Order: sequence, then C-alpha cells, then structure tokens
Amino acid sequence: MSGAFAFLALRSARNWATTRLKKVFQPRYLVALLAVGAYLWFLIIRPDVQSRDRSGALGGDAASALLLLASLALVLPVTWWWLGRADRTALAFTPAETRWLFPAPVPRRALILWKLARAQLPLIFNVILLTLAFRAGARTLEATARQALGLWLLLSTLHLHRLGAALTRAGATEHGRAGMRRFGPGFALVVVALLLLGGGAVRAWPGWSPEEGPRSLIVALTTSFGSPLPALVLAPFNAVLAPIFAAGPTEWLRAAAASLLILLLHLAWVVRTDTTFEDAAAEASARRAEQVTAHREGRLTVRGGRVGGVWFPLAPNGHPAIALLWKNTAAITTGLRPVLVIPFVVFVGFPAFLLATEPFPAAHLWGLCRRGRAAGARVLAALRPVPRPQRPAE
Amino acid sequence: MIDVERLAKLYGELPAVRDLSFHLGAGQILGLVGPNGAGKTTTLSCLTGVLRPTSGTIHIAGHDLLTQPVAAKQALAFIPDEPALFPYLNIEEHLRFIGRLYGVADAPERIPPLLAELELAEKHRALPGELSRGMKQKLALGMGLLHDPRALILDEPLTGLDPASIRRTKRTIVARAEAGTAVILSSHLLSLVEELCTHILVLQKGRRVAFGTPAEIVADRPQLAGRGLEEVFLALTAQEEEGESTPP
Repeated sequence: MSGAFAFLALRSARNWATTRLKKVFQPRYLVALLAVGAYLWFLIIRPDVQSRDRSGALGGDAASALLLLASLALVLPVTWWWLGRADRTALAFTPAETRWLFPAPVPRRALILWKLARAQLPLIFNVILLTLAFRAGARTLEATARQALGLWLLLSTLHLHRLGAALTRAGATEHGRAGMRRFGPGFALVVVALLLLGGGAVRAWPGWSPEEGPRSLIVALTTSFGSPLPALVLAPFNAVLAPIFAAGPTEWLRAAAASLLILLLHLAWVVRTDTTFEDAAAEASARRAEQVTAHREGRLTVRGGRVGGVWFPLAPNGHPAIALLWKNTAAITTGLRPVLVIPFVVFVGFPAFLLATEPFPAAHLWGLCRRGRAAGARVLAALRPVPRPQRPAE
Repeated sequence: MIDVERLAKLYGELPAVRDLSFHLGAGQILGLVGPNGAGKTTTLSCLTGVLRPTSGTIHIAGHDLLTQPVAAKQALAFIPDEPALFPYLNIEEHLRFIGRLYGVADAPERIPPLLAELELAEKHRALPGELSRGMKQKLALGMGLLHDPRALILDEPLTGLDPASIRRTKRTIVARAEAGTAVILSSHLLSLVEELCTHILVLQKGRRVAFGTPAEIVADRPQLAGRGLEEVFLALTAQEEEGESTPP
C-alpha cells in the first residue's frame, strides 16, 4: 500500500518537475523566472549577506513578549477550528483521489496518512519562504536552520490540529451521540480555555495606557497572562512556538523536544481518529473541485453560488479604472470568510504589528518595504532591454 | 456477488435513497436507470464506499462493505462518469499505480496488452492534460479492469467515446460478465441498457420502482407487454409521479 503511495508521490513530483523544466526553455517563462529570482535575491538573500553585523537574537523581555503575543494569535485559528463553522476544507481530497482512492482497498488510516504526507510539500515551501522573509536574529546558517525547523514544527502541528478538529467534528455529525461524546471534551476544553484567556484580557485592560503606546499593552498582557491559569492554557501554544524564539542551540534543543512531543501526540490523535469522514471529505472535495473550475473559467464564484463582498456599486458609466477596481475587489472578497482572514491575521498582520511595535525593530519592517521597492526597481531596470511583444496591427 | 439490503442514505433530513434492496449474481449485468435526482449517483457512491449509507447493508463478493471495507473493495472496481485522473501521472503510470494499489503482482505483464486493447499504446507516456475526453474515459476503463474485479460498477461508461470505442467498450462489458463478473451500469442511454443488461433496476425519488429481468418487469405489469424499454421506463416513472400526486 505504502509502495503505491510512494509511487504516486515520486512519479508525480518527477513529471511535474520535467513539465516545468520544459516550460522554462520557453522565452517568456525564462524571463519571468529570472525576474522572480532576481527580485527574491535583491529582497531577501543579498541584504542579509551585506548586513551580517546587525543585532543578534531578541533580548529576553522582547522574546518572551513576542512569544506571548504569538501564542495569543495562535489561539484564534484553533478556536475557529473547534467553535466556528465546520471546516470541511481540511478534509478535501483532489477529484482523482476521491475517484480512485476511496473505492480502492485502502484503509481509512492510510488515506489520512497520505493526506498528511501530501501536505508536507506546500508546508515545506511555506517554511522556506517564511524563514527567508523573517530571519531577524538568525545570523548564521545554523541559526537559520534552527528557525526553519521550529517553523516546520509549528506549521505541521497546526496542520495536524486543523485536520484532527475537522475529523472529530465530521465524526460528531456522522456518529450522532457517540460522535458528540468524542467531540464534547475538545469543545468544552476550548470553551474553558477561551473563558480563562478572556478573563486574562479583561484583567490586562486597566493596565493599558494608550498614551504610553503599545508597549504598555504588552506589559499589561504579559503580567495578566503570566498568572497560573492563563499561563496553563497558553503553555502548549508557547511550547509549539518556543523553538522559533529560542536564543541558542541548548535552549532550542529543549524547546524543539517539547514541540516535537506535541507534534507526535497530534499525529497519534489524528491517525487514531478512526472516524468515518468519507461523506464530509467527498462533499469538501466536490466543493473544492467546483471552486477550482470556477477559478479556471474566470468566474467569481461557483455555479449557483452568490457573488458577495462587492463593497461599492458600479455605475453604468465611468472611468475604466473604477470598473477594474470593482472587478478585482469583487474577485478578492467573494467567498472571504473568517477562516481565510485568520491565517492572514496570524501570518501577516501579527508580524507586521510586532515589527511596528516599540520594543521590536520597527526599522526592520520599513527596511523590508524599502528593499522590496529597491529590488523591484533593479529588476525592472534589468528587464528594460528585453524586447516587449508587439501588439498586432488593428 | 452484490447484495444490497434495505439501503438508505439521507443528506441531513433529505432522503436520497430509501429502503433499497437487490441481489446481483455473478455474470449478471444490471442497468440502473431513473430520472435526474432519482438517487442513482448516491446509490453508486454507497456501493463503492465513497459515501457511507445511513442504514442498510452492502455485501460485495461476500464481504460487508462497512465492516470489511478493504476485502470488499478488493473485489470491486468503479469506473466514474467523469474520468478524473492524476494530473502528473502518464497513462502507463496510472495503470502501474492501480496495479500497486490493488496488489496486482503481474501488472507489468498485463499493462501492454491492455493498452493495446484500449488503443492507448502509442500515447502511453502522455499526461492527462494531453488526452481527449474519450482517451481519458478509456484509461479509466483500463484502470478499472486491471485487477480483474469480481464486481464492476460503471457510471455512464460511453460518454465521450467514438463509435468504434463504444462498440469495443460494450464488448468488453459483456465479455467481463461472461467471465463471471457482476456488472452494474448506470446510464441515461436506455438503448444501451436494453442491449446489454440482463436485469434492470428503476429508481425514482430514491425508491425502487422496478427490479428484475425485462421479462419479469413486464410480467408484473401486463399493460406494458410488447413495449420497448424506453416506453416501459416512461410508463413506470410516470405511474410513480401520478401515484405520488394523487391525494389519498
């Protein structure tokens, strides 16, 4: 069985790479690839080589505050996966997998393991991108590797938790009372955890003085969430995040061991969840396939779906730019749900907030923006001599 | 070979299939017919383990699909109406993958003649993106037949095929049945069902309206004697509509 999955993965990867390589030799793909490569080089890689003398790892207070805020940010997606609208997209398989693997003599557990293994490729890609983009303090290759491994542990655990929550919820729907008995403890745990954290936030509120800026908010939060019960709730989140913030190899090893333990516990939980998820998976897979088709056909939504999220009415006459803005706004905001906003908050908004906050190097964010602009300018300058395709004469 | 007992499937509160029972023996070909929304696809999805029935039992080659799914599915092949394929496996690799998935030890020997039979030998290194709808459908058929299933389920098997391939596919289905495979064939092409099937199951609104050999179905309804399947089908489904709309 595992041989079949290994065959599928390896042959698909090989053929994918071959197809891409063939495309690279077409001029327009080659130019695009070089442009992207140059942009990333100027934006991410080269500045680091030039600024090896910048400050090292974050100091103790800043690191622990950062850890606290990151842990609080992680509570958001976890809460959504347990209490929000049932997240069945986590169970989606590709149309080919649904058609050929579900009717095949494949145990349910093997299907889940295949899904987990397949998720590793985009996950590792994300780890590489995030490591390159946010390697404040990672001055050496070894430190960068530690940070990357920490990120991999974090993202893998999150992925497993999302899948586990989706399986538990699907089981609750499928198995009625027995399923509810399995779902109940997790649900209750999340509710209690939220109440405790909510209490912590309420206690922190009076300590925040807006005149003193975000720093006083962080101090108040650190004090409030340092009390025993909220600290207990946040302990697993801290443990998963700790390897990213570890200052040195010894601290990292200790943190990584705890994080790995949590990852393995999650893996055991997900693999042992022998719940019947076929219906939920088939529904989610069909929905995803419809979305992919709609996207390829340039439609805003799936057939029979609602076009939503248009923020302003489009007048019958007006500037073409307004029409383009309307179209693109509608395309972006259609189907925008909280579950899509949460990763944005966690992985974009939150780091941006931290970087802009006083105890952290605000200049880093500004520097990143400036480097982005400069890298874009250099790439454009390099591309200027490349002949542009001529428009056909009308 | 295929035993279905009191199968029911609900989507929430909505019943898609209700109290469906039938038995299909080795070598028999069952035509599953019914108007749109009759529950054919849901029935096929339950029979192939893609969906879990709300109640009832399904046995494939003596194995309970719910309690012994791996053994039951080992004897089964499902050829879907939409031949969704793995985008980065070529034709030959699809067959090799299925060979590994079903543990077909002599798959490497079986694949070349199967490719030749399906007229895909020349394209054996082509990816799905380079294939026509008909070629994809042929590959799906090959994937279903590679492990010599004892129960074969086909959903609209002739969609997208050229006339020569249609004839060949029909022959393949009949040949498999003659070799002892139980075949379920769902199609809107009543002429195909009439030509190939030994048994017919008519579904409407998730219920069994008629089941048996064409002779048995007509024998129960003498007013349908001498009519073709199309007329029998229309009469049966219209009868049901009238029956449902008649106030008690």
